[in-house]
Amino acid sequence: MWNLIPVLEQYLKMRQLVNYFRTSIWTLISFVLVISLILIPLGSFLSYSFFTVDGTDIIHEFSLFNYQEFLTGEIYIKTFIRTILLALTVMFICILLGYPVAYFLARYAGKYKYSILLMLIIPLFMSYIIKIYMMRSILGFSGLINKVLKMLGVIEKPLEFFLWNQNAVIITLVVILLPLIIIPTFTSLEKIPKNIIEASFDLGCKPFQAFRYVIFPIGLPGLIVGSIFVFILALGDFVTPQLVGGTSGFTYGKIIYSNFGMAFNWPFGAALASILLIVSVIIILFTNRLTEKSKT
Amino acid sequence: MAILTGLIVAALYTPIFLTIFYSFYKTRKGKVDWTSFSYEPYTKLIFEKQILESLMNSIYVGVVTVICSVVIGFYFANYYHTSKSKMKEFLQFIIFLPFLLPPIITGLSLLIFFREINLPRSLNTVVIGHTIFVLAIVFKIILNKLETLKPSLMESAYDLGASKFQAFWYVLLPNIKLSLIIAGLLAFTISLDETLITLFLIGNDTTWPIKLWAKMRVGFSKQVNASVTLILILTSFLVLLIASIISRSEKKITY
Amino acid sequence: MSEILELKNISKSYGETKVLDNISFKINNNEFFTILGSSGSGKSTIIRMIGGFVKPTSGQIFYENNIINEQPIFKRPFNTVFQDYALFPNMNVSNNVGFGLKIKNVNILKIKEKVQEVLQIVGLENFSDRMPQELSGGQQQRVALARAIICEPKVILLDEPLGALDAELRKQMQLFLKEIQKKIKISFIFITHDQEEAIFLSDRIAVLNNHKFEQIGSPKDLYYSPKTTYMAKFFGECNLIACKVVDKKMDSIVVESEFGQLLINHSIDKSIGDSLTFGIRPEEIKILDQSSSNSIEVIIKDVEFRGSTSNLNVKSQHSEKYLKIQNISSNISQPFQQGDVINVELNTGVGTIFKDETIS
Repeated sequence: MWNLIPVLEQYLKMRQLVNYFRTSIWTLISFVLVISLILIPLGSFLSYSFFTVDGTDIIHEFSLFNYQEFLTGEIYIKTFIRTILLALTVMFICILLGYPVAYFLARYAGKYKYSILLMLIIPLFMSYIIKIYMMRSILGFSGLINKVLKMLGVIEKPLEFFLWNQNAVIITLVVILLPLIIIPTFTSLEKIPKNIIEASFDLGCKPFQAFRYVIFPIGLPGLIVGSIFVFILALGDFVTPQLVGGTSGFTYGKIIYSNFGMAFNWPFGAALASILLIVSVIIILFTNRLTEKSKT
Repeated sequence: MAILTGLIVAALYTPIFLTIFYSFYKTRKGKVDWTSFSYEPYTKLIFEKQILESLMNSIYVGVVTVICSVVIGFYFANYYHTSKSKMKEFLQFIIFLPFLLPPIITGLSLLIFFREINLPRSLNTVVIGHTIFVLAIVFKIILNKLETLKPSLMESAYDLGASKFQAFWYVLLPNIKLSLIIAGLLAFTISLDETLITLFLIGNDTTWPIKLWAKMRVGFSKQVNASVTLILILTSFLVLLIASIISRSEKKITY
Repeated sequence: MSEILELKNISKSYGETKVLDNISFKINNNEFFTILGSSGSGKSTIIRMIGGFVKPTSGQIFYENNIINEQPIFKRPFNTVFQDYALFPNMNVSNNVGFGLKIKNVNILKIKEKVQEVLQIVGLENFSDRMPQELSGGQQQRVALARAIICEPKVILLDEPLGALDAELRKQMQLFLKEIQKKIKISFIFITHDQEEAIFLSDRIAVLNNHKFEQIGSPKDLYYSPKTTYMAKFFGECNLIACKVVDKKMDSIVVESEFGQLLINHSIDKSIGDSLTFGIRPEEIKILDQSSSNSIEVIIKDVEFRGSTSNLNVKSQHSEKYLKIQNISSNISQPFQQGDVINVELNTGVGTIFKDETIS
């Protein structure tokens, strides 16, 4: 007589093994996918930064040449610092304009707050290139701003203050990136329970004190997240400076991009981008820790 | 503060309205010719092969990006939600990298990678770039939805004898359907306008923003303005659609 | 006893909806005053008005004989313990507790000292560096209380503070609140929907029903001398019997009811032929071994075992009316069963007479 039980046991074991294998194969695939499409490209571009170029050939040999170039070529460090300052300026202007708006929406706009927020979000998804182009025509010599100022009699001659310089880059970036700071700030301000604000009044706060000690600190994580978004995007942008910045549109992102275009020095471009990457990752990790800390 | 809010809304919309305006009216020497209102640019648009082709390319990229990112995004969200492995935090961090880093870095790292594996640049490489870029948002939207579902939901499906597939198809999918739609629409909207990553990954084809970028050097024709207006209408429609789906699904939960 | 706070003819409406309708009451010094009402009865609105978060539509709020209707929140000498505590998530326990003093620019050393003192009162002296999110519900509750008492307000307003706690913790916190109130000698205005809680804690209770106060008084007053049939049913159970006066004596009346003739030991201004409603608590009905002059005969419908006591639902011989009787369970000598006929006597001396009211 055949004894079925050992056979069944064997079969079940096999099934388990297959199941285990099946689930782990999916896990495997997902990890391979992410790693091959995100990590390996990042790795390959980091490794490129250690290569050099000879004419149109890329020499796959380890060298610190590009980093030496960055450190010795004054223009690169200067541009890097100038771009950081530019991004910081954009960030601060965005905070200055965006925070009051987010605050107003979260606290005083009542039932209209979501509609207004939606109005502020929609432009974010509207053609980036078009916004730059139109900002160019608004800021330009015969653009809207100059016309309006002239009409109001504030100026006689059109101002050149607005186009082909750093101001133009800053204004354009602010217009493009402003919603990014309003949204997270609004969300974190809106989440503050009403009774926490009431409690601060109850304990003797005047309105400004309630803002300073309670509302502002609790809403801070949202503001930080928004600011970092604005900062990083402003730091890496190369299209805006090129299109409205004129000669001063020579930002760090632009240098990186030109190394992949006309200059055709990929390794050097990769090295410059690696520095940008490192700065960005440090900022992201730092922010992450900051907001995690305030969460718990 | 209300005034400031109003001014900012105005500032954000001025460039957009100007574009729409210029698609209908002509200007001469900086002065608007008010009599020149016409639909003509819109009808002429049909003959602008290049613009139409770039639009079609953009839509193709957008649709494929939506499919890829929603499928992969759902897979990861489900993995993250159900797995107890410690690797999942790491996985999430990696998924978020392309979204958090400056787009220039995502773009050029993929450029170098494709060159190294000898993959010629095309619309498909753009799709890969876009998918990676929007994956974080899609992942997060779906994950948020999964986390609101009670574990007992799937357990009761299994308890009633559903197979894994049946539980997914009849129970999980209908419950997360809306989040998938929202994530997909958002991915499409972002992909449609993505410029910085695309610039690195596009080969000889052009997508619509790239076409605009190229046209910008010579100035925009009225037909370009007309195409912009049409796309603006499409994106506002998509965003409003997303918003209405979200607000409706929220109401459902409270009542 | 001196009163410190008075609400006079207060009404509040939101648009068309009336929340409070002409309410008046006074709060005495060092009093534990409870406002008891079901959810949505407007009880929170009352203390939000005292705290200054809501303005009354009409009427005055007096504090030490001055009208304070228009005084801003931060100037009022009252502090609130919020329903879900409303602790500041960005501050640790000691900063939360010391916040009110910090706003008043009190010296930092003084604040530290005070905080430590108050934390000791609420038994959290070892938790001063914790964040609110790291505390249990009961602990958060204590922090909220500490934060309110540190400013030495004249009145502390407690907006259903125990609502979110589980039964066990609730009991503990009730004891704790009562002790604290005695210790710090500040008036508490406490809001709850729980009758037992109100009876246990309060010096006086105000029962809110239909946007008005049904009755204000000590727990014993409310229990033994309810003014309305609503009040009689609100605390515990009460049998309401419709009667007609058939005879009148010196200090008692004889009435005819569905349970037969009853002698009620109350001197009351009623003449023969008047109808009235007589209310009596289940524990004031005695089961007799034999019939007596003032006993009535009833049939047992069912027995509800409640642990230390049992409730008997009994039916009149003459009609379909029921009475509820509370009996000590240990009374083994009388193992009651459904259908038994027993004699009961109503302790009519402690019952209440409601005039001309229809039984609801």
